[in-house]
Amino acid sequence: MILIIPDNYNQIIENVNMYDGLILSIDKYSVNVRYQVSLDEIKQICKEFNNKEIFVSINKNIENDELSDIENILMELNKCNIKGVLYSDVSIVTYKNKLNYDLVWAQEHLVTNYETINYWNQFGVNYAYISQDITKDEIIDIKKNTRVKLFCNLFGYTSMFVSKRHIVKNYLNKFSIDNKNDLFYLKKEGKIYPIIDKGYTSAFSNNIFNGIKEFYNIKPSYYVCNGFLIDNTKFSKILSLIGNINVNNVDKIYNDVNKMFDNIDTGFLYNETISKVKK
Amino acid sequence: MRVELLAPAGDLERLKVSIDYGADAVYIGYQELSLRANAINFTYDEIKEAVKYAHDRNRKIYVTVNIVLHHKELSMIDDSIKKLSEIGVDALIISDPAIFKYAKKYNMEIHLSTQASTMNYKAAEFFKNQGVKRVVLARECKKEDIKKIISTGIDVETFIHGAMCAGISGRCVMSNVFTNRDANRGGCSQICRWDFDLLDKDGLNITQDMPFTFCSKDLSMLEYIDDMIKLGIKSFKIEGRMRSSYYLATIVSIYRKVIDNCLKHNKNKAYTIKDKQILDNCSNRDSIAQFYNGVYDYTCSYYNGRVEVSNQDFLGIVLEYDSKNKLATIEQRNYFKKGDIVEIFSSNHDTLEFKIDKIYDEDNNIIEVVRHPKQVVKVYLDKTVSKGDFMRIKRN
Repeated sequence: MILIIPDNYNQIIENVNMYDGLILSIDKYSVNVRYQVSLDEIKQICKEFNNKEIFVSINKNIENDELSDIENILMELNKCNIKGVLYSDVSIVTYKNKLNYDLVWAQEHLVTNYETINYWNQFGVNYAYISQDITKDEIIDIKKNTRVKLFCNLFGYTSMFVSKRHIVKNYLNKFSIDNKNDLFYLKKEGKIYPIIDKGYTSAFSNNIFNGIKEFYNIKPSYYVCNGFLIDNTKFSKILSLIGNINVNNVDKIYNDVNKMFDNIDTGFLYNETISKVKK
Repeated sequence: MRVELLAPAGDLERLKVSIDYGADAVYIGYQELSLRANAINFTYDEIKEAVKYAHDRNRKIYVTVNIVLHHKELSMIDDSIKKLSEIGVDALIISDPAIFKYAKKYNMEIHLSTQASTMNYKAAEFFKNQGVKRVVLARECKKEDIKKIISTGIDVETFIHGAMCAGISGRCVMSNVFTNRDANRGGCSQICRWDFDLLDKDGLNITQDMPFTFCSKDLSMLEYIDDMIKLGIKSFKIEGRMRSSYYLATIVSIYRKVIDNCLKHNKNKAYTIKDKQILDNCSNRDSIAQFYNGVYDYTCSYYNGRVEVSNQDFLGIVLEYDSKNKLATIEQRNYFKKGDIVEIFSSNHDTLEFKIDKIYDEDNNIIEVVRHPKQVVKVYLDKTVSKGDFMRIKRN
């Protein structure tokens, strides 16, 4: 199944025949996204797109004074016929028994092994969103060792940093720069990294991830295509290409998508990170 | 209950310094399972020795098992924890809940690492019900959050001093992206301290005189120790398993004094301006209370172009003392000279202050300045000092 994380409403409506479900981000409590919607808008989208599997991302770290609001949102979502909620904060698991939908363990960089996925499964968490930082072989190994349904990134920018601090706005304030936008870019050694300062600060990899080459080797329950900062026409084209994928043309589609961008790579699929630095 | 002062150690030598200078407990890493892979970390035999050293002095040893697990580590967890339980380690600091069952299997006390980013009482209650004895709170918690979490009955540990992550623990992989070194598995290359150009949404460079950085000032809770004791925090943690012996001796001894003064209801004299100055000079970075007061604006950020000078207060280490000739043999760490007013501080005696009068080189020639790194000299001193004592410049 293909899920999309929309970067705007048009990506939802223009591509409606090219995805199976949506991951919607909710005002105030979602991070790593630019496009957030209100609870009322989620209700409306659920009605409009009732043939789609809809997940809601509440992936912010929750503070004490936000808990009652979170509980209220979770209960309201019971009325929306959503498929599940993506969570990062453990407090959300404590509400599981009151929810008529599933939970997706989505602590973006910590979902790296099947034992921890299975740990959360014993509390009724039936979905896990695999970390972008592990290799193809590790993902396949996880899949073999859990009955939890997996989400894997297929395409899009990936998050590399989340902070409660207003990292960009603090800089603007310090140096009296008048700029009310939420989206900025960091430049280092010629590479450009998107950064959003909207409630929380989120920074993203310079390259767009393209995992299409392993489409049939990994094949999780859900592939996620992230529309963040992707031109709507290009995003539609990519979803269309993915919609026509088969075992014979997978390499061609992978290459066709690569040709659409200068900054695209396979992330950590074939590239194990170093954890022990030699002196 | 006496509030615990918890210090770090990257090796056995520094562990002994932390304990000798007043730590109630020390946290250390165990080989591949620790989140500070760049720290030397301890072998099994070294942990055994550490436990004996600590327990002989009625102190505790906690071992960090806070790496974010990949499959290759899963197979070694059971055996590692079994071994740690057999040598009397007092608790494990764990971030990945998959490890809980192994800790329980060997009756090990579980402390939940700050990597789990616990910021609310519901999460704390959840982990308490899973057998977690203590939670090391997220650094982002403000005072009211800490209070609320303590009300659940779980033991609470908070950081009181040291470096801060710019991001939320576990939610930063900039190191992975920029250098392929895994931030959540001990390889963090501190990209947050790099300089960047900041561009607006249209790509226009809006960087000012000082470059953009994620960098945060350090944490220092010196002024709030009494307040934090009253909140009911069980353990005060000092950051920095890769810090030097001098750093640990300085930071631990000052916080030891401040905590003891507060517990003796002597809070108005808990610390002196000089103490604060010594702490600030020790790390050479500005330090503030960070999130405790709910403030995380630009005053918490560091815009210095990553210019950080090395610590220059620390002048040398005493190698031996010749009481007959009243000569202290010193191994140099920073430039000093005849006429400097210095202090020697120790875990064995009160801090001594004196003016350097005579300096001899290794051939017993009188010299005026000591400018070479690790140069060994003799300094005339008519007060007894001990091997391992630290000499620093006296600040007014």
